[in-house]
Amino acid sequence: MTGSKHLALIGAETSLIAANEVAKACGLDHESLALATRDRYHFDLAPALARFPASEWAFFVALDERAVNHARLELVAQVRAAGYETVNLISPQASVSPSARLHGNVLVEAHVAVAANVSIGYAGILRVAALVAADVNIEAGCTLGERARVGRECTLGTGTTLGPDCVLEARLRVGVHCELLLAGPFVDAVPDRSFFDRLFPNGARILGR
Amino acid sequence: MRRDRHCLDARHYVDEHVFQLERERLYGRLWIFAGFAQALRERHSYFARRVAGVPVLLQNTATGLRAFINQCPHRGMPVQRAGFGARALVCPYHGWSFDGQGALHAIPNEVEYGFEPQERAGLSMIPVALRQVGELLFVNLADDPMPIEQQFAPQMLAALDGLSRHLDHRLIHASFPARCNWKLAMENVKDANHVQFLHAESLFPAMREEHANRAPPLAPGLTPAPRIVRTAAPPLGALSYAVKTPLDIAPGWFAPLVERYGTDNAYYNWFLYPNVNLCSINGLHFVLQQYDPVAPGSSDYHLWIMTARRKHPDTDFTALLRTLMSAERAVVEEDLQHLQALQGAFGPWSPPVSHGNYEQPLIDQHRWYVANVVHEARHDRE
Repeated sequence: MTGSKHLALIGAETSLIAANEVAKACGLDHESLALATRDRYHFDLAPALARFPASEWAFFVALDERAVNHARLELVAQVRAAGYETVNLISPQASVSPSARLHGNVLVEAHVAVAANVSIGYAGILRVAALVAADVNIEAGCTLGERARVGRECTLGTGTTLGPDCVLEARLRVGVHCELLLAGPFVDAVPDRSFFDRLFPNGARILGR
Repeated sequence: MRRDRHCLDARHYVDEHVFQLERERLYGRLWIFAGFAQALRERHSYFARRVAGVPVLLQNTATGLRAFINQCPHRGMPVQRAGFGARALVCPYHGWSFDGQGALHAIPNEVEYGFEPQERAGLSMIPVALRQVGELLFVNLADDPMPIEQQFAPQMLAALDGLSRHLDHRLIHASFPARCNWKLAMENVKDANHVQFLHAESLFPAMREEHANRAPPLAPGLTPAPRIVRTAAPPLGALSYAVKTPLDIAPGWFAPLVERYGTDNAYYNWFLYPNVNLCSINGLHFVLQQYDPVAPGSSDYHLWIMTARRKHPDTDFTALLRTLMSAERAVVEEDLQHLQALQGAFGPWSPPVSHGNYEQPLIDQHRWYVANVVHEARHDRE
């Protein structure tokens, strides 16, 4: 139960498993439903909507990160448009400042620390032991990988993913729809739609309109 | 007849003197692809890169697209330090600013410099010749550039112009180091026979069986030969050519969302001498690869990818472009692992290359290179 409603976890992949673990650790009575997909981007919501009426159920949508996280944002938008409340799931082993604002359907896994005055947009996922310093603004649909660290006053644009052990120096701006999948520090601002990983150590970037 | 199967030696891929000749006589003379115009639509947008080591800046200015040596005439600082951006021509070091022609506009604290008027008049950014063919931008570093029509045949220029109408305005670019000579990368993409070995699980399964083991058709103007034909060096214009190979890849999910180039399920290739391969899978997306020389055994590998033009500008292909780039990069890595091993094995002990009949385009390219770049007499080995 969450508030006056039952809780259902819907989605797929490791995020659904992680959400189940956090819900259990929180002692939340809940149900879980894996959504069918033909392509990892489009999910069949119909069984969930039929099984869990919006009048009695609230949802948490769990979906792994993939290029720019459109799928997760889209899924959350769909259930909200269908009249469902979406809840945050915060591990009891995480530390979240009372002044931090989580804007719904945010998953905070164990050993995460979120400092004061942090804002985390809807559909965010903070994996195990991610650290977020004070006054950080994380827009919707972002993922922070295991042990990722975000310095003070950083901003992360919509749909951006930080990989495991990624480190953002303080006051850095990372644009929208970026993937920083390299461990270690980023010290310069990252333009919108930039992608860094093992094969792109200098980054790949989308240009033009 | 071994002599007919051999043209370049290992030293052409490792020798510093040969590399300097290439910079002077090849990259210092020919038109070299530098970027795509559709990425420079906005005022002050630019990209800065190197062309065979020379820092080149392409900038959208008040007078249109311009190319310069990316250095301030004051102390030589790059005027644009990032690879891409939108910023006026202002040197970040001491604030010198330049107009759309590269002429000096203003110097902060100018009295401190004490320049005479005639000295000041000579302070400008160095212009570089720029030609736009469709959406493709070419630069030429020569003082007196050759006509681009001398380098690319009219049908090739028309083809580039025509296909440009299908290129989307949004593209993804990446560059990364390759520890091999630029010529190896270019020769590799012209060699269809390697695909079944280096890309057995990635690219090869998509090639139609009847074409998978064959060399591509020869360039226009070249005659298919039962054996390698020893001829004089071909004209420069014959070194760039187009090839179309049937493919067994069904059109991707995004096909209905774009203005497709052509109607066939095919692998289109345009080889642009000296260092560009532009290709398209089914006319739905385009990949441009370029191999920019850094040192004899080192290159910068550039990848540009775009879809065919979107039917609706609101269609967001961010995730698709990212996915296409990752897939292409994975295939390139399969090549680079081997090309870097090949480069590392080169030395005075290396045996002469023995090209097969299907490699006639490489032989032709090498003959032109020997005659025009290294200026060597053929020293064929029996």
